[in-house]
Amino acid sequence: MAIKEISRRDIFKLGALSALALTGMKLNKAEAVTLMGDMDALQWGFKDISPETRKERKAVPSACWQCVTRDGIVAYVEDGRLVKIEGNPKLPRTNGVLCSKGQAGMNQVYDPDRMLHPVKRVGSRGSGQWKRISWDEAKKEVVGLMKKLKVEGHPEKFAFWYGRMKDSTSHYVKGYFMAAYGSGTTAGHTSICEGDKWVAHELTWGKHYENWDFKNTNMVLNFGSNVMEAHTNHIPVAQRLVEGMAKGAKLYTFDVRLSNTAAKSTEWIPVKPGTDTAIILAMINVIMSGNLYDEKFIKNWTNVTVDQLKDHVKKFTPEWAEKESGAPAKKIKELAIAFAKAKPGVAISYRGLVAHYAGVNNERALITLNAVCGYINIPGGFCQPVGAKWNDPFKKGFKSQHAKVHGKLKIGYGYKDAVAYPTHGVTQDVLGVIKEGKHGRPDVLMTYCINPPYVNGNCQDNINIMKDESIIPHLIAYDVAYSESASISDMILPAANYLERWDAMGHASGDQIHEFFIRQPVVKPLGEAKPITDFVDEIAPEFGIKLPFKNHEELVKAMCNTTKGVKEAGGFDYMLKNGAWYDVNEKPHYHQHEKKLSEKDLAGTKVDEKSGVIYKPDEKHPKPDAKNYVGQMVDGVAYKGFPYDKIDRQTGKIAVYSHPLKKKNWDPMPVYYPIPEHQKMSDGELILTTYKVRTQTHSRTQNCKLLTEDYHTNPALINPKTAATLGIKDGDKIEVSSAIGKIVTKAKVTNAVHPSAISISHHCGHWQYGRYTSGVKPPVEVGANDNDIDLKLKWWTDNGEHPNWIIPNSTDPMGGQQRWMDTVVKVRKV
Amino acid sequence: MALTLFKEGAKSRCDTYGFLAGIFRQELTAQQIKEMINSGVLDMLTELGAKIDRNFFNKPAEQVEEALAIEYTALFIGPGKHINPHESIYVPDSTGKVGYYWGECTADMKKWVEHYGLKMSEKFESIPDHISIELEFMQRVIEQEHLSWQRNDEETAKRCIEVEKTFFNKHIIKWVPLFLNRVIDSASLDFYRETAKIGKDFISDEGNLLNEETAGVTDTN
Ligand code: SF4
Repeated sequence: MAIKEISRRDIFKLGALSALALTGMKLNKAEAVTLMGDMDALQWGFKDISPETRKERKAVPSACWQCVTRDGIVAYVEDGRLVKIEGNPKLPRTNGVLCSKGQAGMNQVYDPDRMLHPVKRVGSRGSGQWKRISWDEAKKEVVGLMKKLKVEGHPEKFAFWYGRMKDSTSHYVKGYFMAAYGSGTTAGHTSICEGDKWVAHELTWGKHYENWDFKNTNMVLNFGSNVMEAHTNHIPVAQRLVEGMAKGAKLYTFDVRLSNTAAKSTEWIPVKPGTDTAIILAMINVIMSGNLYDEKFIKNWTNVTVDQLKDHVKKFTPEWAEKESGAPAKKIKELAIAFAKAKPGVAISYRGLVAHYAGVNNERALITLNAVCGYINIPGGFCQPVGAKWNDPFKKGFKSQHAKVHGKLKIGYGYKDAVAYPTHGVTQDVLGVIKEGKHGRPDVLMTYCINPPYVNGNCQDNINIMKDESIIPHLIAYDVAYSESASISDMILPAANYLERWDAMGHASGDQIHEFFIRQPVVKPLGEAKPITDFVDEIAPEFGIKLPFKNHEELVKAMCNTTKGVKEAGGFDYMLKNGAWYDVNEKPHYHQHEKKLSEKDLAGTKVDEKSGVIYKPDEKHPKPDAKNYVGQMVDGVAYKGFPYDKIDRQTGKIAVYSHPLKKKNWDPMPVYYPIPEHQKMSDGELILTTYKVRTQTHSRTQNCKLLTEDYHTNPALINPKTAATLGIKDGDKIEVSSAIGKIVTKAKVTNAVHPSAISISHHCGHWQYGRYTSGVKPPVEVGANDNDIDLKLKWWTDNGEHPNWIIPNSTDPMGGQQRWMDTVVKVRKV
Repeated sequence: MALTLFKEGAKSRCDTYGFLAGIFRQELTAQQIKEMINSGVLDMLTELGAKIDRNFFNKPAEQVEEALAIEYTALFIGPGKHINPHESIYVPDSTGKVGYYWGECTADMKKWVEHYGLKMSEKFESIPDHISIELEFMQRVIEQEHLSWQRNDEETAKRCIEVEKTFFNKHIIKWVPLFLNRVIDSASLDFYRETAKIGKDFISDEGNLLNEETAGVTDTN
């Protein structure tokens, strides 16, 4: 080379030369581009300029809803049209960063196939024949049905089944309206997500949910969480995991599949589906037998002794775990030792661990692994979450309006006595339970933001029950999209999109502080779409219900203006402008269980001698229970401990030994429950597992063209070894069949999946939900139109296959979780 | 560690982009050439390893200006075979078409300029994907980064780095090295050839800096 390479050291020389040239030679004079002021786009958030017109766009802070994480957003509106969504940098939990789903939120508003008008069916259920009706007609009809039930003394026969309904909307519909109307017949959807995880939390450490303090950790053991792509607190945790890893934290992922999280890990250790718990127990054994445990934590904060634990786990050897899971014993030992020494470390999980038979037990084993190392509520560990505590000034006063006749059909908690602790519902069995009738049958079923035929297992069974008017006489969908569920309802009410409505909100903070944020309408609801809370406002007076606020905006306003901190910052006005508030001086909350109780806290309390639980007895609750828990004695000191949630665990410590499980004849200690179906598999059979990708949620983002262009088809992942024995090549058409049916899809032969599994993502194969995902145009009556020019640009015709047609609704008897990862299938080349 | 590299290097990087943009923007004037000799720029270029025949610059300024202008025209303007200084000539569009003015990358470049609150100078009539505009765009963003560091605004500085990285990978790296290679091969005078060499090394170093040293700086998602 004639010239020596410009190295980084030379950059200063080159810089000096350039500076000289710029001033001396006046090279800057001929500037080709000049500044129009500040470089505005470099200001993060709240400012955006239209590149075409140079006009400043209106910035509206609000919140995402593409997934349950509910990140803070700033939406930009130009001439009344939402044109762009960014993260809200004023909310530390997301640091102003969104995932692709959040950024594609505009597509939800302008989906050419979204529901814009109320419609009523004119043909048979599912015939697709609709008549457009006015909101007045729709209201009259719904109110008529509900009034009849109320007059007959059976308001509980009005059932409300929701998917995503959170924050003040949930409170509005259930806490205010349903309570005053008199029906407690509701069902949620958590058991098709991660219900068993929360049941395990309630059985083990009380309140459900946790925060992984990644940014302060040294080591992460990951059992089946695709945290970099999907999570109920996705961006906050993923961001902090990246931050932690940049500082040197190591991430080890045990997974059936090489997810993007596994790929980004220090190491991926493939495991056979349903066997992670063997590894976890073996790790606890290595830590206990190697005396690497945190003796003080076990003694003070668990309800077992070191000896009890040692004795319990000694049979779970790494060699045994290797036989079960395929993970090398050497690796299990090595990582267990490293984990105990990491100080701090955190062991994490998600559906890979819990969406199985006895998923509750698996998560309990995971909490125990964290507990024996003392990694609970410490920086870098497994922490009780911290979230917003809003004040609702109307709640108390409204109690007088709660209905005198209040009933509840237990349709949301599984078949009679089938599940030990279904505290997060059994959504996949709602239709089956209604059909069986043992818990009574609702006369009117309204669905909101839930799509049972698509999101539950056994699609056909759901469709059959929903279509049967003798089982469900009246079926009403309150929906944003012409979903599979809406398409077989009697009436569809067009819901406002998340960018068109209000909410006072909170979620687990990634930094262990209290963060408050709101959702406010970014644009007016399109067409005749209406927020469900507006619908409530309109129908409540028909039942003599006087809501204490004019509308949802007024409720949010009152909450902002009376909640400590938010109020002082400027209340509602401040929140409208900034979207979020937190105390900049607040320190992260750790060691919450070690908070000492004051005399005031202890007034009128008693201590249960056996457990050391401090409780406040009253007439209704004379003995310690979930209702009167106050704290926990440890060595003569009264601490807050780990408060109860819905289940009475009989201790304010971490219940490694579970009395409630013992009561229901399950092993009270975390053990290994092999998946029953997997024990009797014949040659050639595989285990079907499902997964999520970064650009889609389970079911309700596929109408977003930007996302579905990126991800619209889902070939089945199959290991080359397995494929070879079945004579399958990459790209071959294959039939995957289970006990309940078969689907035909394509094979993707890849080492990214364990040889015992076949893995199919569950975002594809919609048969409704608009043209971008299913190719099917909804009826024009509902609002579908051709005014989106991009419809012509849809280049993909392969919309993928939905695995739920062949996954039965199979419920974990411990906690009610849908067992997504346990289905045994046969695979053959077509 | 990586952040320090950015913080300390921002001013130099900014000026270097400005220098290269100025050199390739248009012909140098006699006055600029005089200043280049008098202010020591030429000496510093030589110090950095540029093999420039000083005798050439010892000639009267007008003669040097004339010779350099002829070279500039022959290299970048034509007529005849020349090295077109526009991105769309080098980078194919989404249909694979390449070698024409106002391609997709030109439109994209216009958006970048306008989106960041900049406007094309009226004095300079060129197409937005001209080499000097792309280099000057980098200069402008790094200038903002530098100012942010000066007021200890790490957040904005990081945001600038993110923009630099994205823009560099989307535009600069796609064609600037190729362009500079052609200059190196075709130049008959030392000045443009040697400056292009320095530019080429600088761009390669920039690629490393922006793509390898940004882990944990900009990858917050
Ligand atoms: S993770 Fe993505 S989809 Fe979920 S709330 Fe955040 S931006 Fe929205």
